[in-house]
Amino acid sequence: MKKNYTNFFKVIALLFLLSACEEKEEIKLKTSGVYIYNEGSFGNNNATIGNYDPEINEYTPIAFRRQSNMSLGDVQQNASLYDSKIYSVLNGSNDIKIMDANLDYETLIKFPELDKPRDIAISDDLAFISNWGPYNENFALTSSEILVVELETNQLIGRIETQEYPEHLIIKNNKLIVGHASFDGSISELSIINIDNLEIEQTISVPKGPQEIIEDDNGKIWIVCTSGSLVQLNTSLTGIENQIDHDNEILGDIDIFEMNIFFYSNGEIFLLNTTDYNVTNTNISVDMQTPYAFGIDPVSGDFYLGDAVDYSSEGLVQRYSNDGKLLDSFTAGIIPTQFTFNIERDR
Amino acid sequence: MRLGVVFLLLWFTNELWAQNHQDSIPVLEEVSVQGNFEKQFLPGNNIILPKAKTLDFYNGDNISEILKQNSSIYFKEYGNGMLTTISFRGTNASQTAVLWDNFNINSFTLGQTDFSLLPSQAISEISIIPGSGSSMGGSGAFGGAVLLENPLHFKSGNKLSLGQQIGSFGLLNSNLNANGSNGKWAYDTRLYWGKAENNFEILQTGEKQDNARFEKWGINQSIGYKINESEKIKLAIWFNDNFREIQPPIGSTRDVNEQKDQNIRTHLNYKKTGVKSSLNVGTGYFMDEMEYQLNRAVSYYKVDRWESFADYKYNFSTRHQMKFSARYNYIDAKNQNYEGGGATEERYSLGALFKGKIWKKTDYAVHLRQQFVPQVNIPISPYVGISTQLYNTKNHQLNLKLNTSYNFRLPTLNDRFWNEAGRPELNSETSWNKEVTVSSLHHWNDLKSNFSITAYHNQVDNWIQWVPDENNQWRPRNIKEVLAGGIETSANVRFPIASELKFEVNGQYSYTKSTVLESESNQNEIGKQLIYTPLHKANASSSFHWREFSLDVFQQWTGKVYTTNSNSDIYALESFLLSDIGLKWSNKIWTTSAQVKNILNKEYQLYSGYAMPGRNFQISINKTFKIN
Repeated sequence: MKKNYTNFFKVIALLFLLSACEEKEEIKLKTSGVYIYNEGSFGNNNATIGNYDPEINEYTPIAFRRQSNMSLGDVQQNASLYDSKIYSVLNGSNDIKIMDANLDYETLIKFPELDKPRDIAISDDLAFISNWGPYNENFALTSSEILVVELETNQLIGRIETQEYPEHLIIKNNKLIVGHASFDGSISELSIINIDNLEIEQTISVPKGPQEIIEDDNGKIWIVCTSGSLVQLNTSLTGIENQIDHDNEILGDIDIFEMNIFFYSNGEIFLLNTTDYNVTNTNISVDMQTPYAFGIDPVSGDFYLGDAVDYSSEGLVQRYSNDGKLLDSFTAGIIPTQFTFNIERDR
Repeated sequence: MRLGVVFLLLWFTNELWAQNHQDSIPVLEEVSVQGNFEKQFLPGNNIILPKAKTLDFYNGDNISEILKQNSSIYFKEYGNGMLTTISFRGTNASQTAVLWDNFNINSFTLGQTDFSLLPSQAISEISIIPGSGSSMGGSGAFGGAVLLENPLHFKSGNKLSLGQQIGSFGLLNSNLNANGSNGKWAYDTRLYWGKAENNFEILQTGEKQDNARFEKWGINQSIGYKINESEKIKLAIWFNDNFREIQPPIGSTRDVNEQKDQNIRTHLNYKKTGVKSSLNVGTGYFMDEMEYQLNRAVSYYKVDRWESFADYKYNFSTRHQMKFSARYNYIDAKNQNYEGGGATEERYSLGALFKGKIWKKTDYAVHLRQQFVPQVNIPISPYVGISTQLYNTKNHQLNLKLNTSYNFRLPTLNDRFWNEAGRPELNSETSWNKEVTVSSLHHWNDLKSNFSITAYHNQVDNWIQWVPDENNQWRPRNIKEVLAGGIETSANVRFPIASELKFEVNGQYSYTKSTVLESESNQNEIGKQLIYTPLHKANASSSFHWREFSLDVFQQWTGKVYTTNSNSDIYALESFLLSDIGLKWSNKIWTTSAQVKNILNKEYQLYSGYAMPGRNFQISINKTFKIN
């Protein structure tokens, strides 16, 4: 459950170039589409990517299947956007499908060592995959790793043994930050890996349930812990700089908009000011049966919330404006888990 | 309570002996033997007996192939030869009872039967009882019941037959059947072994199916002894062993993922038939063991069960009969997922059944059954059924059948005892079923035909479903109300074309509407069709016989199946037509046949995400020895 804005920044860069030529024209951006990544039911091979058009409030449910004329796979755990490519991590299929930004299938990463992959992070021509590995006798993990893949060939070129249950990944300052979260909470920590020598430099204990890891506009790394904390790492990534404890559990999916981190907790959306670290209630109440995904449109600031309902039928997505008005509510795929936003210049 | 059952048994037995002393006139033995005893008390139900040619054609397959070709039943199959669960008349897999020789063999942990563990070769007689009149089978027969039987025949003569089948994807099946009697002893032996590499081409991707190999073997042995003209004893032992790799969803790969199943089913039956009464007592031991492995992780369960019953039947007159039945079931389950690693349960049931003839052409039956299980609220289950002839001439007959019943299904052991999730206080599910059947038989010169149409309405309440609670912990709850209604039709026409050329055609169509009336977990499913329940299904078969040859064509059309309870078309499984064709030659000793299955090479799925094979081939040879 995380968002990538690579496309967004590319477009911005392009627009800066354009603006150099047309100095007086004001740059206006718009969100042309929102990809909604749906996990699908385990073992049913029904993970999907849908496309939502926020201008006309229309959802196209099986955008990838239509575009590429193939099924996506089983249990879409995560998707990452990098260099105009989408990397869909399929935890049940044990592969990673790569497609372009129009959802045209290109290739896949698949080899026998890829076993229950959870997330992918990319640095130039290398991909880092958090890989649970096989179960031991008691359905516990004993050989989790970070797998290093050369994207030129999609071959495995390196393996880093880590703490078990590696989940979310982010790369910052040539370091790979890995969250580890076991179901029972007995493992709740971060590994900091130097991607030049593939060595673990640091492990940092965090509150129970570390999930999504994001970078704020100041370049600081934040981790949401579902037990109810937001943790900020120090600049050198050696320890915790700030820990904000909330009085309720937090959804493991957070997002940033205009210097504030937004999160969902107990039916309401809160914001954390990354400058003064104050938490305030936006007073936006969202009624969801099974809260599962949260994202913010980086242009409009609209909130997107995914409800997994009963985990077996199609989930619901609700879209609220930044000031709390319900703009739309629609049926998405099975277990909506993540949003990415396609930004383009508004003509 | 256990003592009560024993007393009841003693009382039955005394009554029987008392009568026998009074009446020493030899009596005609009933045509039926121990097993199909149950069927006689269901005049209001349409009982389906699969045709011999279907049994023969799908002899190397699991019995699910036979059932779906002969009824409205749909099977969810998690791949070819993999877990196969039943969907009958718009109910779920736990709501159909599977009985072998009068004992329920559904898994007591999960409450349902995996039909891939029931090879056709193990069974000699199959009957399908649609509808809840089959509540005679006990808990959970809402959609219907499947009766599997291995009856013994005390007619002299011995027969031995050996069969070998070879087919696509490394399929091999061998079987030995022997049965016979010297008039005093009778036996029936069914020994079977089969395996398949199952590496068929996945039509969707063009890749070979990986990790789907299976192997099975077993023996079903019955031995009977006729003590005298009125007393018989029968011992039956069925051992079944199945190994399979678990077929992954299309495009997925698995490291080690496999399952081993072993079942031991035994029972000892004693039957005494008097002039006005009969006693049938039996006791059985059943063991189901399953070991599932994913990577190095192993899930294991074992259920030991001892079940005993006593049925006492008394004829008031030549027209009216009654039957008392008592049943006791002791269940001991070992499951690492249960609190304390296991659970034990005792179940009792008592039934009183009446049947008879009123007027000349009307049969009736009335049942009352009550089951008792500690902590579970179970209602009394009544059944009323009537069958009558509306019209009868030498060449034409029109019959009407009606029945209604109120039934229950016990929560499974998983529902009750699963660690930190099970709820021992769950109520049993209930169903109220009403149905009517009109059937007719016709002879027009050499053309023989029969037709039937059944309409049913079945309301299921307290439907148990596992849903996440407020802490996101999945737990079973009585949360749904479902209305299953539908129509089942069948037609069968046979006539000779020329002196040695015969033709027969059968067709069936079913309309099954099963909708959620109330749901506490998901409001979106209200009014929607139950998942994996095709609204439309049709079967057809046709056969030509010419001298020693026969040509059989079997076809099944399955309508669209929803896989999400919101009835999304996106996730629905497409409708499909499957056609199988076979050519057979047989004389009194040899039978050879060649079959092409899925001749149209149709890509289809019976469970979302799992591939099924395209066109495939099988040849079989069978030799029969008769020793008199």
